Amino acid sequence: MDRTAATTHSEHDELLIARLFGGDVTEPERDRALDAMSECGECAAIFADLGAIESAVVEMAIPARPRDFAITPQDAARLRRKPWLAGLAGWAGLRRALGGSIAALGLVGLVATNLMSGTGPGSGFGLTSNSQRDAAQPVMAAATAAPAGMPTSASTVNPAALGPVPVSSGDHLTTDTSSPPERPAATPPATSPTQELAAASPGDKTAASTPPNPAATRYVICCGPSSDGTNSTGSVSVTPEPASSSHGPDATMIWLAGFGGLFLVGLIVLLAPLLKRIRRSRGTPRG
Amino acid sequence: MNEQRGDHDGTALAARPASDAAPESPGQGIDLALVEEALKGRLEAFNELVTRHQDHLFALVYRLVPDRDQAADVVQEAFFSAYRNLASFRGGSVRSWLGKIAVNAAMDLQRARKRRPIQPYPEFEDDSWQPPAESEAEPEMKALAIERSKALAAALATLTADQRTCIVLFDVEGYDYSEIATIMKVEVGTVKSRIHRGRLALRGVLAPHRELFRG
Repeated sequence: MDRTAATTHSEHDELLIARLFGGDVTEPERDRALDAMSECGECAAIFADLGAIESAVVEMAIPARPRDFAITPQDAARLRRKPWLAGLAGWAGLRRALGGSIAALGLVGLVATNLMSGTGPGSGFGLTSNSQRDAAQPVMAAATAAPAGMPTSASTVNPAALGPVPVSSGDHLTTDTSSPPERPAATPPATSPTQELAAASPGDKTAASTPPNPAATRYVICCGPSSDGTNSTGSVSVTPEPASSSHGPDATMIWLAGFGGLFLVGLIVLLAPLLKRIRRSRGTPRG
Repeated sequence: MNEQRGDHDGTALAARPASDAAPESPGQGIDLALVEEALKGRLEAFNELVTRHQDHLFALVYRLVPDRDQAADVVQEAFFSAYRNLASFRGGSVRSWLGKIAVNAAMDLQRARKRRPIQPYPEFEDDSWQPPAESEAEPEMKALAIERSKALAAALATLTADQRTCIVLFDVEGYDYSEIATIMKVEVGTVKSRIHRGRLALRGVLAPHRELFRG
């Protein structure tokens, strides 16, 4: 093969020749391949070699079969499907359906619980119960109907500006403030409201003795007569209250855990055969 | 794009029919009768099927898994699987049905070996090679055929399992591109690419033995 031919062949597409051999070319490609073969001896040799190799693969001699593959009666008995195996096969189908259903139920429950709980969008300042919500309505109405000089909306309530107001045992509203965007509605004052509360109402030891925990606090909005006996119209105190520990575990968390468990159980039921098969294929040497 | 078997030079080569589309072989009726008997529980009938097809299956699998012992294990597993699933046979060519089972078993083995590579391939000094029937008359031709087959087996062993399977199914079993794509669960284009690139790779590996193939 001379140098010129080699240079020319290096510009040719060998894969195109192989595709021509396999009958996998369009008309323009076929023309191009045939042109290359007519011009280039190496391209023509590729085509000829592919033909020779194909024939050789078809006619390839093979080693003698090492044994007879007839099935013995013992093999047949082992392979014959037992009734309980048929039942297992039915169980396999049932298991897939069951696992999928349980996992789906768990997932839907997780999402639904999450949406309905305080962590869902738009519920950051959610009340903890309907009764509390009902109880809050007149208080909020009173707050919004405050006389001039009073903040008229929740967003304008600034406890720091209002100053320390004694907390009475009157109406109070417990609210969650787990949603930061809505927190301005009851922003804790720069100075610790608990300290204010302690100063104003030393008798309330529970509130005074508990340090504020910004991460887990509940705010108590209190309205009612002040300690001097005058009606504290318009006085609103927002006091962080530690998350109640006397209520026991949060119902939302229980639901979340339940649905999460359900989801996991469904996944395990669904994927157990696959995991078993992978483990078996890794553990059993095949050849 | 021609997805059927190609006419290699565009004119001369006739396309071989794919296995499923092949006209019924004379033995097809016997095969079907044996399947019916085997379905009634007669093991001898199934073993008659084994006897009729074991050479073909071993030859097919040996091209896919070029190790005699492993190929034998694959064929045995294929017959076990066929016996277990005899009731799922839906008619047609028994030979083709068994071939597909064997190819699937071989591909399972190749996948397992991909995960756990082992020392590959055969001892080519083995004396048990069977020459093609036509070359039995001439001792020289017989020797040449065995040499060629050994070189080819070694070259096939250097291909990826996917390329090897596609080439064997196309060249030996006569499946067309789309049938191979169905069997291997890949796109038709992938099958074409594996065949074309695999052939070029084979040519490269066999370059030192070119004289064996140009007789």
